[in-house]
Amino acid sequence: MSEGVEARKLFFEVLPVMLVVTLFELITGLVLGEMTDLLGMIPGLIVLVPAVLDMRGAISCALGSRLSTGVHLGVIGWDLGFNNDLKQNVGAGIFLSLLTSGFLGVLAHLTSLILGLKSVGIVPLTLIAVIGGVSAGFIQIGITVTIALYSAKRGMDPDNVTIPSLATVGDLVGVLCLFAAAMVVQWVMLIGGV
Amino acid sequence: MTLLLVAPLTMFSGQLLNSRIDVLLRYPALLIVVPPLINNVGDLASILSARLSTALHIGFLEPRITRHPVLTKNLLMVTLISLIAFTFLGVVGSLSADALGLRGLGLLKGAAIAIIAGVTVTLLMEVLGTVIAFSTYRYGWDPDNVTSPVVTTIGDILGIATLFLVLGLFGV
Repeated sequence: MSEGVEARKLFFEVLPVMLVVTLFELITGLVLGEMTDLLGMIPGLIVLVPAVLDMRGAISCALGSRLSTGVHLGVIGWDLGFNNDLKQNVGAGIFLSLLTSGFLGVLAHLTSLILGLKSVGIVPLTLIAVIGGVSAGFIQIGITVTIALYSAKRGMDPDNVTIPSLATVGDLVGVLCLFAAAMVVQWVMLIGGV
Repeated sequence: MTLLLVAPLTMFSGQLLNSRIDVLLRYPALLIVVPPLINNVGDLASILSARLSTALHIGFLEPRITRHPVLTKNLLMVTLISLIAFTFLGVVGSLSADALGLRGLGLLKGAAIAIIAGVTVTLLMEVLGTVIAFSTYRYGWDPDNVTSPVVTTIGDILGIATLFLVLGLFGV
């Protein structure tokens, strides 16, 4: 009997969350659908999409858990402001975003070459990955910090709030930032006549 | 450090998409399915895996493949959730693609592709989630460190591969 009750609880607690997540992912997908012109013009851009979204998700979730721990320990808090502990966490998040995004850009170009698929080039792809990944990083880290500290101030457990919030908006922010970065890089290439 | 190890794995799913970019550019509506497909199935498998690990540690479940009610009911519920979520995705996705003028394969085919691909990948991920929960318990690995990165990256690759297989069944 208890398994039945537990299973029903799983269903009714997870289903609404999954529907909200699906809706946001659907919007992310619509943005991708609107990006097709750019995806066609910049060979290799599509490779960055799952890679940057995964990396961003991993970094933000790790930061979210670290902030929650810091909040529980009392070293980070809404009223403590932008103190040293918070600065170090945010700095690590931005640094990791920069490092992994650059790495992904290089990898996307190299794997395309190995597979004999077209790539726009190592410099434009890496620039798109870095500009898109880091700007998405700033936005997502801002959201993570705000939600983690504010939810704790309101007496909620940040662990329960940050990860679902990031799961819903993270991918949308990631795709929008990649889209914007691709437009900027393409524009610079046009101006530069490359 | 883990991130730098996972990075090359994320290339598999990206390059899978890249290898069929012509199809995706011809039918942009198909791109709507991509983020939910790779995200939702990873989430569901992580939830399943976490729940099974807990049940194993409490002693409600043995790490063997049997018709144990804890196992069967959890698997059934995850399947049901994915069926509802992907039906929602298929119907709302097809309608909004149509409204935005994104070319696709038509309302019915588009919805069917989302549902069939989504539920198929969920079933595959249930197997993976169960195997991971059982093996982390048996071999004493820390499920927190193993489950999430493995499930997310494998989920991406399986999700996109299945999408293209289903498209093949529809003759695309």
